[in-house]
Amino acid sequence: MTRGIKMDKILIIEDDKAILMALKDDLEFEGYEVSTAMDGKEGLNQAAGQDFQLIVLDILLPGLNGFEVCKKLRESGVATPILMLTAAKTEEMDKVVGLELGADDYVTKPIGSRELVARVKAILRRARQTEKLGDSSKFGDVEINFKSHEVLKAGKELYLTALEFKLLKFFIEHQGEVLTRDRILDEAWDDAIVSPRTIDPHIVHLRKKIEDDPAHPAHILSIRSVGYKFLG
Amino acid sequence: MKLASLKSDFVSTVSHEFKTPLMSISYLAELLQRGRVPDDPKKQQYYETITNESERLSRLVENILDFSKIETVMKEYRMEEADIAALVADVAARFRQQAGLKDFSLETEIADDMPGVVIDREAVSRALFNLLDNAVKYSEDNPRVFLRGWWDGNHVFLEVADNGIGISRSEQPRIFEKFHRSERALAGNVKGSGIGLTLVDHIVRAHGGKVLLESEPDKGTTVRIQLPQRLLANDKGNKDG
Repeated sequence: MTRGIKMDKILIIEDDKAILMALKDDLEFEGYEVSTAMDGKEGLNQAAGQDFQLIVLDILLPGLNGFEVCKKLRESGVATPILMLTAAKTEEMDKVVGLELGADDYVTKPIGSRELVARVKAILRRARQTEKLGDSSKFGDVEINFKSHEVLKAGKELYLTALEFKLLKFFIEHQGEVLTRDRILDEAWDDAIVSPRTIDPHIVHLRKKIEDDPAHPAHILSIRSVGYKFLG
Repeated sequence: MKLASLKSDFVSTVSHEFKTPLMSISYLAELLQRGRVPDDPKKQQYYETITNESERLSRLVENILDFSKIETVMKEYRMEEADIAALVADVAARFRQQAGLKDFSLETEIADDMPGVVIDREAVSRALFNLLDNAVKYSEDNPRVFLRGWWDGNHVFLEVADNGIGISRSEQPRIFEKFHRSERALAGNVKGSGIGLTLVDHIVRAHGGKVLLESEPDKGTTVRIQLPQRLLANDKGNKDG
């Protein structure tokens, strides 16, 4: 099951043993090397001491909760992508805080194997592309810092929603490629069950923020009946 | 306002408590179904875990239904003669099995001379299950839990003791209140709905008994159920009419 020479290492921090077993077995089946921790403190120690490509992090952990673990990891400079796993007390807050704290994605319990594995692969793929991109990127008068999530246009800060930021990053990662709506949904979207046309209003919002003339975009072009192309 | 906020917390906590076993059941079943579990011992472990998690879910539903019946004064108890020693042993065996993957030790000490009693078997079992669940849940690593049963000639006692995080003296009077969660439980992110002890208290009172609590922070907690003599099934119960 090994895909490639070097296996990606994943750390799962989850206190429910049944879920932990299921996730570990599943990700190992996919060919990943998996380590586990059952509380926040142990998870932090492992994450800080070893080189992982992804951390799957439950929120409601005994002792140190998932938010605190995420925050401490980011504060200590650990940039490993984090997929948060939550049964969500207040789902909306969890999403916002999770992403604001520097988590890369979240999923809500109960989640199945297909979706979880797809999310894991998407994050790892994005991480590899981001690695190639570096910490920041620039096109026209727009500057993006992928680490701080800051976007500046002509030196002035832009407010992008988490989804808009993700979309923009995805476009930059695939500069010059024609991206179908299905592919964008598949690789850059949080909610898997939406229609392809859901993307369009978000592109309109994004253009309003980054384009000089949103009616005649110079960066994100529409490709009729297909999707979009980012020119840079 | 306070009760409304507690109720809202209760609903979100309960939904979390449901989602956790639901996820493990559906995830493990999916892995089995899709042939992603290669060897037989692992498959067996999955079957057992699915069974245990289903029972955990079922207990949660029963707890909530019972709580709802208590709230609407609809709860009825079916009193029948029971072998209390056998009941305690059965609860211990089921708890060990259902707790499955958790690390803990459960020791039972049941007196040989336990008399027959007239109780609602299911309700008393549920009370003991809730106490055992709390004992494991509110303990740090590798908890030691004791389940004891004895008779002093007047009363039947059932006791669950642990070496867990304990409850402060100031908080002890409130722990049987519905939705109440102790500060240490909340601070330590210990999951719970805050109805388990309310149910235990109701069940025991409905039997004419009482719940006694001894607890010290960081030392542990002992919850003792005292059932009255009038519940004794044979002539032993007639001593006090």
